[in-house]
Amino acid sequence: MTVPAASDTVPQVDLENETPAERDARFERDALPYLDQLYGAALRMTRNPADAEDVVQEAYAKAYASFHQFKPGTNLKAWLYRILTNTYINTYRKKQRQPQIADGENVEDWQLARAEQHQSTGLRSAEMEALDLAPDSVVTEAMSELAPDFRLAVYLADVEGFSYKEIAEIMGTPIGTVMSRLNRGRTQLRAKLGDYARSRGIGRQANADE
Amino acid sequence: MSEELSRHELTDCCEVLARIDPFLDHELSEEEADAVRRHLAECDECLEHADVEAATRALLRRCFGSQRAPESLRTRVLMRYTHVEIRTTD
Repeated sequence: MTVPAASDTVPQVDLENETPAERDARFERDALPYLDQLYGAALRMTRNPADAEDVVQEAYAKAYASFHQFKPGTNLKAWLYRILTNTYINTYRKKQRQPQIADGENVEDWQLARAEQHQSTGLRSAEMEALDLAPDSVVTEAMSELAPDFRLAVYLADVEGFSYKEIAEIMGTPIGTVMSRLNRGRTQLRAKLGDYARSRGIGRQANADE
Repeated sequence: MSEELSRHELTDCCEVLARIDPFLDHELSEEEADAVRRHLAECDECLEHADVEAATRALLRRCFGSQRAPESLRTRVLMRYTHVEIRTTD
């Protein structure tokens, strides 16, 4: 029985005496369940199912090859996402010859940008209700229009629920950069979703009602 | 510590709005989160802003949350180490 009694109970793994077959079994048991999630993240990165499959397959091959370096009991999901992100950046994006997004903003910029937003249009409740009824493609397309680094930060935070610290580790950037990317990504996403809602006359209608 | 205490009350909407994202992301200290909660209880405009932010997150989870990897990918990933296993049991 390997069911842990409490969440902080770490299953004991004897790394030194683990046979390759045992490690394979542990990899399959622990790492493979994240396949759907990693594929979803890869789709957000590449925006293309065939490329997403390639990135995930390569990431799993790398994870498998370095699984002996993973410390049991630490965050396996974050570890796998980091490998996936590195695979995407080093292999896929390089292949695409996409320029890296220069990102020198600091926390102060982030806070300023956020405060400025007080007056910006953004989204209102009425528009949000309309978006709840909109097809998923409206949201997925708005996301796909974001810069890759912004899109990934928003995805990791809002869909996958990673903490800022985990996202910083996954993306290999300081936490201030994560907050900046999140802020900008979310602001752009809200603007795009707001545009959609207003293009359907939703914002105007709500104002007329008041 | 004194810096933390001086932030206890957030009366300025700009200060609150700057913290809505980290608040919803559970990245604020409990004291700061409480200060945001107190402000939201009294300010409809900031509350609507927070509601919309929370709804946007829910919308994203709904639209992306249930992605399934194709079976062909699962097979390809599995094949990598099934192959190794065969070699090691030689």
